[in-house]
Amino acid sequence: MPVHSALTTHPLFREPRELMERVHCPSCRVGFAPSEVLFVAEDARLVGDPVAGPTQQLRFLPTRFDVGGAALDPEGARCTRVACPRCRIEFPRAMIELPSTFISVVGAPGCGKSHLLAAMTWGLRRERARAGAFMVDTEPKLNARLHRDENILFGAPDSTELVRLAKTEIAGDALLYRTVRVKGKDETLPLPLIFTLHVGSGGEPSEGADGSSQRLSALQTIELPTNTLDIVEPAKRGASLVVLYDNAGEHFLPGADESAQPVTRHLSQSRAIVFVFDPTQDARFCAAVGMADNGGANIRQDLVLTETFARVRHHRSRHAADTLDVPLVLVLSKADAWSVGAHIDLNVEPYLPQGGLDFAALKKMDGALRPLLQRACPEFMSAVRAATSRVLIVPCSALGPRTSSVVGAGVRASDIHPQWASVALLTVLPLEVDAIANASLWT
Amino acid sequence: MNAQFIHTSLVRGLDGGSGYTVAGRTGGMPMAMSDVLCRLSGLPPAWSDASIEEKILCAFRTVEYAGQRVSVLSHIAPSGMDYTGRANRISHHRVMDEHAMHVSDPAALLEDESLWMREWVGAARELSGGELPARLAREDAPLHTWERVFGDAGWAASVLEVVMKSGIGVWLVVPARSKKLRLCAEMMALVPQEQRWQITFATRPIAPGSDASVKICFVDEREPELAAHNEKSEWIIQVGSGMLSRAPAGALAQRARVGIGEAMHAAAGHKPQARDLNAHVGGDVWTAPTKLSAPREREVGVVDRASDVVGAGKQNALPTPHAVIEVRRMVDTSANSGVWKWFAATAVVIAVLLWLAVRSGATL
Ligand SMILES: Nc1nc2c(ncn2[C@@H]2O[C@H](COP(=O)(O)OP(=O)(O)O)[C@@H](O)[C@H]2O)c(=O)[nH]1
Ligand SMILES: [Mg+2]
Ligand SMILES: [Zn+2]
Repeated sequence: MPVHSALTTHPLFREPRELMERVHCPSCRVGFAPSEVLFVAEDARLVGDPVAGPTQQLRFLPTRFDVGGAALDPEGARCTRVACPRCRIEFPRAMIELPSTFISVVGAPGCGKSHLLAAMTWGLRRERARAGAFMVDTEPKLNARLHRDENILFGAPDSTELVRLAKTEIAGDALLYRTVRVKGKDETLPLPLIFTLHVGSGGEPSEGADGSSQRLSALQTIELPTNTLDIVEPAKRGASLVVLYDNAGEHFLPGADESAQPVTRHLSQSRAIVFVFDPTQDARFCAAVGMADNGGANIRQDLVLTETFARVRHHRSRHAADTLDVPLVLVLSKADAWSVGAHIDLNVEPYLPQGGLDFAALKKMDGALRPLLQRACPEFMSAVRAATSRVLIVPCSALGPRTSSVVGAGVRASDIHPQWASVALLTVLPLEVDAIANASLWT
Repeated sequence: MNAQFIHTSLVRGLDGGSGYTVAGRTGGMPMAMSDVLCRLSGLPPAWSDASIEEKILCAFRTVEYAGQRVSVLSHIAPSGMDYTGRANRISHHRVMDEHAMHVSDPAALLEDESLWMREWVGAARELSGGELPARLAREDAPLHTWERVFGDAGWAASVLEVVMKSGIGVWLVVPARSKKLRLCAEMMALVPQEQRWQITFATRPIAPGSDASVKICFVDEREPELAAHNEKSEWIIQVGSGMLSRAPAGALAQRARVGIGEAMHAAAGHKPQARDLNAHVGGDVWTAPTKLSAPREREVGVVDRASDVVGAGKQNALPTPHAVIEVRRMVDTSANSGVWKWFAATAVVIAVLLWLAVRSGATL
């Protein structure tokens, strides 16, 4: 039986779910039909795959299925794990059933990306009532490296021990990158972080791999700011996948060898780009908010932004003169260190009493930060304007106000209380991106 | 020419970037080579309470560059804090030339700490090729570290045999706190010098199956990456189980246990000198060996005198024939070795020529 008919007729895939028409591999970004998906053999004897590597289980196109509809590997073992037909890296099966939103987190080395990611995902796992949405790991095993970071920062909230996240490696971290051999050539690809997003503040998430069995109606549970909203598909179905990337900042620097190590190819399909701008790495911003200079580590963050959008353009084959409409969320990180000088208050987070984002509060914050940034870093704002026409500025403190003085040696675990950490992610989630666009928040 | 390459976190690298970047490089190194070495520069995360020494990745790898394979030694170590206040690491690579490979072996070079940079001071800059001293592991000594860690030094021979046979390379799981580079260097001593540049290795996990992977990784049992793999996989080996369940036997295992020197002494009916025995158990004064003696655990002096020792070894202690035959057999069965086939072919040609000569002599 050809695989695609098996996929649609067997109970494994039948149920109420439909398959996506086209799936994009979260690692190598190739697009393919669900019928092309490879399965990962389970039998212990089937070790070694020509592309995935000699230590990986064989990937195969199934021709036999058991009565329950699961694919059988050549040795007859039941297989449910799937992999990309090109790079053969495993991805969650839910990707062929639910729409996915790709979000790239970008920024210069040391700007706070890894901390921000850990804090925002940690927040969205827990703060469902406030945020009006929540996320669960689609396939917990595949998010192992984020768990590592979340555990370090939030694993022992009562501990007075100093904790710190390691600098993100550019290669060699098996939880971050995977090297595969495509057409006889080694390719190092990023391993994404994948979540199932449920919109709405009620209901229990189903544990584990398959979030789609628990459907929530976004329309009933979320208060939307305008009634002319064109709600995207995933919201109607209540669940969608969010695919996040945390690259080492080095990969975004001009001159990084992108062809040999296509770790930032995900920019091409990203629905939104979260650009982390670190004000503490900019001497003029520091001066503007009355902060001591950081000792000369002045990184040209505008060049990182320009390079990022150049790559987006390159991947989407767009002319350099076109401005792209890719939404850009400009996260000003480490706000605990400069919020006082900038006269902003992070204690009040932009959520509505009934749950969900408070767009008015977001707009106000954006309005307060924009002139400051324009004054202190005009060339950065010029780069922003040249890159895209949709920008939202959001502050964030991944560590919180009690930590800012001790960052060097690590921070005390009990002092970590993120502020505004999940906001940036929420603004780019499938439902909100359109909502915010309609609420004319982006400028 | 030898070349070297330093990769660490700096505000401004040689090619402009910040963060992990090129800090130093032998002048004139082609960009393509530089890119290849960048990709070898990562340090895998270790278990949470690993010491700095335990985090160090020492590796001998071969990588493809401009259509040929070049030999690269890498020493990647934690290195204080970088400009963002985060833990930094420094990767020091040396690309080996023919001459250096002739007079040294990879493990012995990596064991010489004076050759490897642990901290980068100042701005990014071009470097010289870097002179390399001759460093050779001694071939004559018993493998004390193997004996202490695994109870029987003979295991080194068994592991070597598995490595030679393995197509994709193996991870050897070693008990916590064992000295992985020492284990590696001792095992290498069982291999003839000219073969040592064929066995790539690392002291931290490197995933098998890519251009940069190695024949053997010495993997601490606490390594987080071990947990991600099925420990029953054939390529993860452990002394005492699976492919290594049978007690080591054979001439090479015997050589690992007693060393060539002891074997020769025993054969000649000599007893080792008392001073040599002290050296065995790590007596605190190391005196230059007059004849053959056993090494100490980690002794830079030994390595410094390595070439003399080898010279002496050549005169005084020809390797026991059994052990040599065993290594050759293993090397012969190893997938990527054509050298011994070439030897055999040459021998056959010589034999034929001799036979012809004898025959023509007879007909005269
Ligand atoms: N004060 C303060 N420091 C932060 C915050 N987030 C990150 N940092 C510091 O910034 C440095 C870089 O953070 P990291 O997340 O590793 O940056 P990345 O390279 O962009 O992933 C670390 O040393 C952190 O301690 C924050 O919210 N507040
Ligand atoms: Mg990072
Ligand atoms: Zn792929």
